[in-house]
Amino acid sequence: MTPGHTASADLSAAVRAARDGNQEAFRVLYREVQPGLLRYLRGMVGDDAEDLASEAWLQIARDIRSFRDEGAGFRGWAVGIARHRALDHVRRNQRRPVGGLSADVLADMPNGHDTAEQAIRIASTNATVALIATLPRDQAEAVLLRVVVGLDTHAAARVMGKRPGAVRTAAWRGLRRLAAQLDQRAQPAAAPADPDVTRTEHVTPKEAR
Amino acid sequence: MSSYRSRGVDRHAAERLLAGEPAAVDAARPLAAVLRVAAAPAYPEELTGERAALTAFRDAAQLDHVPEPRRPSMIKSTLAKILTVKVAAILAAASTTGVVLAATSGALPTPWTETPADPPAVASSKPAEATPSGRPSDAGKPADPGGDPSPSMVGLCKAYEAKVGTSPGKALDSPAFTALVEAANGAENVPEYCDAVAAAADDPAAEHPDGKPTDLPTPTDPGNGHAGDPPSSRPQTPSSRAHAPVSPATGTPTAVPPDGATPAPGN
Repeated sequence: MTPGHTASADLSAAVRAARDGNQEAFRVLYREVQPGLLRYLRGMVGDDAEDLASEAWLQIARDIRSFRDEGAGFRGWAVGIARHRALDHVRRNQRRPVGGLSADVLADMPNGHDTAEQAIRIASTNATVALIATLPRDQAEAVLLRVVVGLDTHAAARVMGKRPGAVRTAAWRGLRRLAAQLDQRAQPAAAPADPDVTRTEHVTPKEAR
Repeated sequence: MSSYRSRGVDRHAAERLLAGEPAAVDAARPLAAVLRVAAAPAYPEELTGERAALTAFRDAAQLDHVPEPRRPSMIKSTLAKILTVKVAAILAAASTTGVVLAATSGALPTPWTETPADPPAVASSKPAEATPSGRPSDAGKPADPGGDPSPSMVGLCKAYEAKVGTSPGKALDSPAFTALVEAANGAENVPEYCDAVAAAADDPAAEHPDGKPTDLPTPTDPGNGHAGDPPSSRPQTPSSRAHAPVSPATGTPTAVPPDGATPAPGN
């Protein structure tokens, strides 16, 4: 039940069974989709994620009989429902998605050596999601949908209502920016936080995007 | 970008990372580690809403199930089969207990059957019923159920009372309750109507000629419905938030609000 792999489980059999009223199939769908959906919501709206996720599942349960794959698959459809509610929620409450991360949390982030040995706990996961959420809005969303929810580019594009190329670009920029932020923490004096800042001695015109 | 620091995150590396293939990149890089942790397998804490989701699924499946047989003679056998298989699930879902009563009394008519055991062709919810295609003519009952309310009304009232306990805001939203609302002459009269129904229907013998098993609430026990397990996690009662509009037939919400909608060129 790994939420973040695009080679994620093919849910079509479970979807069919659930549409026929098979409760166990719906349980499978919940367990497969909920973690990624919840983490995505955390990234987008922070603390209200759990409430919104619960509401989303009520709607998913109601509407699954009329579900049609329109390019995002069941996973994308379900997250789209969650996204819709999150945007409504943000608009109604005039809240901004929660971003920002204290330096302490960043310090606790696992590095490559730790990850293999220690158990990854939910706090670490939530911290990484919060870090991703500090990216500019579209970049954060693209990275979350691809990595945490496990959608491929086209499914993520459907969910976001953007062209696949735009999603690809946003995700790539997001990763670059994250990498630079993390590198900067490792060596604060040496690298700028924003990789899009032109550095004259290294950048060639075609790379200055 | 040819900075040696971010050399690893060219487009190809990015695509591999996004696709969840950290092995293709230096796994010690902080970025790969962050993504791996963000995409870690499910934690139990993230699944606490499972029971509520399943309950919602069961409820929805009950109310939406469209029957295949269209002949009256087949309805009872189909109904019996459905109930046999799902009786435990049905009874566990508190809000449908009353509906089962209505179903097993044999009084449940469907829109296309001419022979309900009970005179007014009331569209009520049961496993075999979706939104009735032709709404049967209600006898136009006033809010007074009279001395002998139909078993369907009794069942609907119980289901209503059960639902009121768990989701007060939308207890009557389901099309199953349309007949109840009509019989009571308006949604606002339903509570009073059901009180009268409960008072009048004090003859338990009227309820189940089929000998349906299990504990059946007496008419004076309207609270039986929500005896079931309370949700352990997020409650099903809607918050004060308005419902987001659901686009009926399409899966993906097409009416994406301004923030995400316009495919701005380039990002």
